[in-house]
Amino acid sequence: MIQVQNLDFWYKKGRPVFKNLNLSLVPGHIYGLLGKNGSGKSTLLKCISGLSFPAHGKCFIYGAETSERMVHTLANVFFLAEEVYVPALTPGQFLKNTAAFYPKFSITDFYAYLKTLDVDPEQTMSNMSYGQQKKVMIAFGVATNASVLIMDEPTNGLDIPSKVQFRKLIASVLNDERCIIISTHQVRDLDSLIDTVLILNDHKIAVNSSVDTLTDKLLFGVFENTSGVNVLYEEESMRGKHAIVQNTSGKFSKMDLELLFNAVTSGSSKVPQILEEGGGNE
Amino acid sequence: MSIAVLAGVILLGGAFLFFVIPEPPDPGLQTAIFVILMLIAGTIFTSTVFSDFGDKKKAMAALTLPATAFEKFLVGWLYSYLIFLLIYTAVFYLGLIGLANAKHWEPNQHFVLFSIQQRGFYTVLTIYSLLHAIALFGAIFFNKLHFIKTGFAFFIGYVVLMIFNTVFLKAIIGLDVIKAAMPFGFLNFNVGDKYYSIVTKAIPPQAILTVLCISAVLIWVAAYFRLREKQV
Repeated sequence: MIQVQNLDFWYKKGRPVFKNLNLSLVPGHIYGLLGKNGSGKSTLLKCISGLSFPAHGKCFIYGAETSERMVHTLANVFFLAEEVYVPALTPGQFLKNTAAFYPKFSITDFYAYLKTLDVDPEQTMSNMSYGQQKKVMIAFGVATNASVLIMDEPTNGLDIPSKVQFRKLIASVLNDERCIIISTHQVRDLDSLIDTVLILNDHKIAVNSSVDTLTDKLLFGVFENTSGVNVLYEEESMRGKHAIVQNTSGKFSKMDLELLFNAVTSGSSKVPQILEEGGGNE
Repeated sequence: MSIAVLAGVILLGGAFLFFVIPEPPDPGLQTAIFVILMLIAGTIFTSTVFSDFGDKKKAMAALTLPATAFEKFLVGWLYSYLIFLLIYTAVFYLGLIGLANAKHWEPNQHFVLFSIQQRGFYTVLTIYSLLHAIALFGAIFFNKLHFIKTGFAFFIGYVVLMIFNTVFLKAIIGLDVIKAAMPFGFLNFNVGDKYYSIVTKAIPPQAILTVLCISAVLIWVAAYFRLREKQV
């Protein structure tokens, strides 16, 4: 569905954001794109959605190059920016002006999502709080029924109840034809939502694994003593050693996304290597 | 809102003019004001039509809207060219007629309304087209202060063009050209103690207008491609 081929990108020559980045995303998944500040999460999403053009390489959605910005591609992609722009209209007026551009838009769904997210459809959007504005745009994006839903830091500005509502909404709208990509640096916000983890590090995708694969290959937990196990990464805490170890026993553990993120971005290549073995990194 | 501002400028400026000049303004003066105001208001308005693309947040919404780049360009072009000209002409005439009727003229004074169907109509339209094209290109090229930056770039570009033209003329005639030579303008030079000023009559005005028209079309095309290649 989404193909990123040999992507090179830089804002300043000699300071690359991506070097020969390759990525393939398929429908039916919620991808969590993680990375440190400045690692290029937003840039990658902009390249995928055709807002930025690669220096080399190409991005495709359903075989169409996204930098061409063809109408059928744009109608099939909704990009929710980190900083949203809302006009001085009510959600209903905005819907009348914009929904017609998206052939699969559902007006009923839009109002239902607004209700779910606790947004007043009669209030002028520019007078709403930042979080409310973001929720309107999330509802609009989901109601477009675009096959590709790209959200850049969607939970920024949302309060705790809204984050819960957001997770429920996104989980409820996933189907076999839809691919949802969510970027964040607040890894806990996506913990229970995503089914595939993408971690950007050192100009490339360091991890591209489903949560199932991760928990198959890795064991997350607090260990008092880690001698005798293949420790891939560990962090000292009050309770003991938070560690990721190689899962050789077939035990199940709940994925600790924050620990995984720290393990990958700390510079150690142990976790990516384990995931690479046997094709864990897709 | 733009129409209200335009009407305000025409009514306020016109009222001042009608107050200062004791006699009814003749059609020549009306035409001059109509043309000057059209060129200024038109370029200012045109330089704002793509301002959304200069603002990162708005640009993302505009660029990802499912419409072709040509459709987005065409909307801006139509609003700033055809629709602007129609509305401007209507507002100007309404304002002028309103002011002419509002003022009490002496019995021997008669107000004569100018007509846009004059000899120089196509010349004015060509100049407007060229300036519109430049303003439209600036509107998409610059991210903010579109009108000021476009105006600055235009005047710098014009000076550079004059310098190149002067150097080119020096090269082909092998004499020192006096004063900067404007394109299609006079060529001034001295031979001994004699001063010559030459202007060609070989190029008919239509040819100059054609060159300006082609330039306008080329700049419109360049503006379209600039819009197509706009990134955030």
